[in-house]
Amino acid sequence: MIAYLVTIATLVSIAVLIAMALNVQWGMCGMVNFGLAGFVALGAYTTAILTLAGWPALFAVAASVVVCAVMGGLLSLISMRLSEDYLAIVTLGFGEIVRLVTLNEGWLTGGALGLPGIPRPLVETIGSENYETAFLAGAVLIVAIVYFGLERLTRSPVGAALRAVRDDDLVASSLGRNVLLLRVKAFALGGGITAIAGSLQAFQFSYIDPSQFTAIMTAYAFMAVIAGGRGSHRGLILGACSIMFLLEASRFLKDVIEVLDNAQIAAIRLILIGAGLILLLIFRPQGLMREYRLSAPRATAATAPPPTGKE
Amino acid sequence: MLTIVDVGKRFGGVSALDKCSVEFESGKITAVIGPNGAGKSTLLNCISGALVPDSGSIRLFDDDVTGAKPHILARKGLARTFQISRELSSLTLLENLLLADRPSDPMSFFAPVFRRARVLDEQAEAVNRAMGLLRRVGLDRLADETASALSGGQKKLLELSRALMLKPRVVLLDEPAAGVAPPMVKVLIEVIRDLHAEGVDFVLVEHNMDMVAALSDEVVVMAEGTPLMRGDFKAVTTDARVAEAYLGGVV
Ligand SMILES: Nc1ncnc2c1ncn2[C@@H]1O[C@H](COP(=O)(O)OP(=O)(O)O)[C@@H](O)[C@H]1O
Ligand SMILES: [Mg+2]
Repeated sequence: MIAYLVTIATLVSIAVLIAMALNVQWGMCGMVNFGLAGFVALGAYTTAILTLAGWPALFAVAASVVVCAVMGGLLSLISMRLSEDYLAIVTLGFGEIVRLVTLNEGWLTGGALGLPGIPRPLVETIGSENYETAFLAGAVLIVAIVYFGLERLTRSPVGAALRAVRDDDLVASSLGRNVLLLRVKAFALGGGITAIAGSLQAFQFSYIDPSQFTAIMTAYAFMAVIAGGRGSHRGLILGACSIMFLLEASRFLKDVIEVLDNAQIAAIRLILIGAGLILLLIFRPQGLMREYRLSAPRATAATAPPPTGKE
Repeated sequence: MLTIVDVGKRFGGVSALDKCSVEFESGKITAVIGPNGAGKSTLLNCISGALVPDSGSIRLFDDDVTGAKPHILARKGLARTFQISRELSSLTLLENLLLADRPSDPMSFFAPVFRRARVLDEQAEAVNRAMGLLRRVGLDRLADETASALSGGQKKLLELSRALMLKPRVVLLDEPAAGVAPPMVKVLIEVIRDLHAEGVDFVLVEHNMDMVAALSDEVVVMAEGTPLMRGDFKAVTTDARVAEAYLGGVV
């Protein structure tokens, strides 16, 4: 049971990172990314291929972050140059390209069989008994670091500028903000975060294949961000946890209602998530939490004690 | 200060600006009046970079800025408001203003994370300035509300104070009094007059003739995409051609 909970918690950490990436891109800056799973796959495969080639884990992850960030920056730049609405199509296409490459370029990606035997970082030092727990601790630490970094960004003038671009890019531009640069940076930052998520996933199972990065991964991220409240990093953590709770809790339905077979359970799980999201949007259309807003008294007291973090 | 030469802008078959040449002089408040559809807003949009003109050239403080991006123009000291308010609806009033501030690292994603103290110090300064501007138009008590909660008139006032946050040298105002209650129009006139005394120039597109009379050093009348005449308020409002243009515009 403990082992099961540790695995679930690690998966939630990865899902939270993916949702955070989407929250920067779409939640804050209004740039949709339907190729999110493709970015995670790109990150996972880059890390996997490099570690299998003998790179130390840290360098492999760093390289993977750079690859995904540059890819994110390029994709947003290309689609901005065309026209802003093209981002949806471009990211969808990117996701599909990544899927096809991972499936068909077997010499590089192992094709449908995937890449087994990805060396897990520090496995000799930690030892195999406690490794899963240590890995979870590492994953949670990474989530915490990304979370606090993003919170600082969100609470700064740049964070407000990103939200301004989302609300009305002409106004943001007329007030002196370089909208194109902000968009490219936000998309690149999101790309970098997906690479961290993908790398964790590669190390988690020490095996990756294309079936781990399907559209449902993207869908869960959107659900977490929408349920949590667009723009709120804390909200999406709550959102991702709720989704995982519904998914996993329904697993035990089989023990309670014995007439159901596995396929029916799987269908019911998705129905539960859908129903949960619809109910939430009826009763709390703005999501569980509100995004950060700067308020005047607190801001003028910048020299006073640090903000309480009240949202 | 602002020199517009032979600017043309078409929307499909409609010619919104047609060989439009006009000079806005520094040290003055120049009003631009004319019937609906004369091309006044299109002119402001071309000057501010929101639209790229099809032809002609625009110079701002002796720089050629034809087709320049809005943020470049904003940095050169040009601010604007919109005829139909464009508040940043999910931002608070204070945040709307802070967006026009120029911190030392406005685009950096690293500074807020790794040099947070400096960023917050700069922000605190900007907040003081922003609250002062909001106070000037009587919106300071609403600083923490999101802009979507404001009335139409309040949104106009917010836009003006937001434009001023840029510390502009010249402000283009597109019908700032439209939808604003009469007592507030008086405040607007005061604020604009004070700012002009402090050295800010204005191009004022306005239908409210009291405001035009109260503020303008010079009036440009536009009709059918090009200036028809210019002169002081009295000369312009008694001119037969102007009356005709307005009547023509109504039909
Ligand atoms: N974005 C647009 N698309 C199509 N036509 C436009 C657009 N903007 C303005 N026009 C047309 O250009 C002409 C001038 O409009 P505008 O500059 O808004 O005039 P004004 O501000 O003087 O009332 C009008 O005929 C208007 O219908
Ligand atoms: Mg107009």
